[in-house]
Amino acid sequence: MGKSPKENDKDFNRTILKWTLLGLLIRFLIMPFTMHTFDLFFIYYFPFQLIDKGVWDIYRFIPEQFPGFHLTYYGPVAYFLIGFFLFFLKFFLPQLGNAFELFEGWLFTSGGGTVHYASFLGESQLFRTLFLFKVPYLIFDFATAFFLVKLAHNQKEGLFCYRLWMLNPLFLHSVYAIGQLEAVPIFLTVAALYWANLGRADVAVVCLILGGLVKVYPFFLVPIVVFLSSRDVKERMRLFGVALVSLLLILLPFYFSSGAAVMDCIMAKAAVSQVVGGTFRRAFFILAYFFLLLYAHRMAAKRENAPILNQLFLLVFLFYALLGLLKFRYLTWLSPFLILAISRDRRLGWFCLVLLALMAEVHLSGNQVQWGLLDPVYPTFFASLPISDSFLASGGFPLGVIQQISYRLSLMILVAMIYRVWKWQRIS
Amino acid sequence: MAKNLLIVLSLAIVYFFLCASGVVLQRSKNRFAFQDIGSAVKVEETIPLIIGQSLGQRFVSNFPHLFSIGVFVSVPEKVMEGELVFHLKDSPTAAVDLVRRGVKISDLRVPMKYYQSPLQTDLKTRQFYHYVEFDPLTDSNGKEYYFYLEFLPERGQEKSQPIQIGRVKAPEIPRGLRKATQPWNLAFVTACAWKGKWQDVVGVFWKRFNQDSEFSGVYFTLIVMLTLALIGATFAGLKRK
Repeated sequence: MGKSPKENDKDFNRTILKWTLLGLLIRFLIMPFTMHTFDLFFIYYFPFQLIDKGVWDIYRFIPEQFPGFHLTYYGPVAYFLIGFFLFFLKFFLPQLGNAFELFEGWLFTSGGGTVHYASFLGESQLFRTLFLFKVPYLIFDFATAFFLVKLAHNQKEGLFCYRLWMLNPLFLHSVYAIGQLEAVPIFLTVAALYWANLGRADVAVVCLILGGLVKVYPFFLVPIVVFLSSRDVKERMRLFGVALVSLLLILLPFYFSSGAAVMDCIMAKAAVSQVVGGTFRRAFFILAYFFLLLYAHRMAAKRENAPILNQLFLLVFLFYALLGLLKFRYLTWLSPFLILAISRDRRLGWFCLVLLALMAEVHLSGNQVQWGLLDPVYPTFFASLPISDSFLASGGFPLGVIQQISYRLSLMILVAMIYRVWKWQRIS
Repeated sequence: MAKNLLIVLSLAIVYFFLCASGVVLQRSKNRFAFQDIGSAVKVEETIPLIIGQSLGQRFVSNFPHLFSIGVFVSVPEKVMEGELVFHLKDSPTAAVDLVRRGVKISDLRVPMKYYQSPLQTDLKTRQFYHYVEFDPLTDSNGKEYYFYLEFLPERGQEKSQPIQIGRVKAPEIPRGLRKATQPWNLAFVTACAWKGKWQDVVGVFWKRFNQDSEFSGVYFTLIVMLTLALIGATFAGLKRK
């Protein structure tokens, strides 16, 4: 005799609880013991100025206080969000001021690698600080998992997504080991998918704008949502209006205060670090993007949004990756959408595994993104551990050739994935 | 799902095997090493190492057991043959060399050092870091050193070009370098060796972890509680089945 729906629900909840506990345990084991250069302290250093000195316009503060400093802070949403969390966290971090004084001395003078930061911050409650700095990520992480379950077609698929998300190696590496802000924009893009699926494209657009003001990439998804979710020009204009108003509402106060400096948080990150590449690459991406917009326009309001939107989000990221513009850790951005796709098309999972292995060889060279992440535990020891490439180098293998082969193969896999996701329409 | 996990696990095992092999097979006597100052420096320009002149650099080593210095060299196609000599001293005025190593220009090759990081594979065959290794300087932590390069040409080389040495602007450089005293600095990397014992790893971790006993207590409790809850939830599920 089959189980009743009530029993099924109970089983479902129990499994979710079990995987939540496992996910939490894995995350807790990583959180206090890993860091990557100055990343996490950089993310918190500037919001610390907000709660310590009341600096609200960080884009004016940085060039004034540190002339010639080549970096700016992330978008304003990141600044205030981290500031908000830090307001509560600082009560548990009595030595934070001391840690930031040391950090400041290094960041703005001599820089350094993980081994340096892990060494000199070791006396300033380093494990506690790393752990607490990553606690806010848990909120966005589990909220993303919640939305993934909601977006799945049925309980079985939902459970599959939840399990995979709890073990997602990309997310664990980028967010908890490296300590990057990725958890926030990822949550906001998944939330956008969820709201668009419920027919609330305006909420989805606001989510993407907020996400773009943390890390730039969700901006790319705004036109896709607008084109797919609107039935006529009027609706389209309204949605673009919502996007523009929410963007300006956040950016304008900074613009009036510090002029164009605020734009660096978008332009420096987008134009310089990620959207660089040859003219051919850029032209190809723009062409592919417009093609996807056209497709979104064609499919608008024809059927349920979520599968098509997920397909389009994935295609944007895959094209981006195909052009060599997406490094290993940025593959995290597409991981929730891939997980949703894999829940229906298991073969895609195999492609992903091979792609991850190949891209890891291309982009994860160097100790700092491998053993070096564990430097807080024992800086000089973990910074010294050989990585797989050390073996190849000492054995006289041509590393450049191996990396080139891995890179070319990863491109082939990406093309195959694009084809498969494109054909995915039939499956969905 | 189980299949995927198995693959991930297999990949991890292969990875561990490769790393372990690296430790066993690498040829240097300094089994563990890491790059410190100057690593990943983007070289801005190269300058010729003219006969009769030397190019030098002061720096402070941030860690003990300094055992290698790599200097960026650019070898022109019609290079002037001779010997490139590396000197390491306590200071520019010190009379005695701590290390002196010479290499024939024709013997300069793109190195394959297991401690190279990042792998510098994007470097061209005629532009690379030339590494000099020596016995680890045990007390190098916090000490200032000076190294310089000189070129001793062979005769009859007038039409050839001198070897070039890479340099970078002071503010951008040397990651970890505590003293940027010159407007320009040579593009260089240093490597330090880890000279501990396996037991030290646990000991150092435990010491660092217990420095903040308040946190370590809370954290340990949290992990134990989570583990127990997970075991409980797993057993409850099994019992129902």
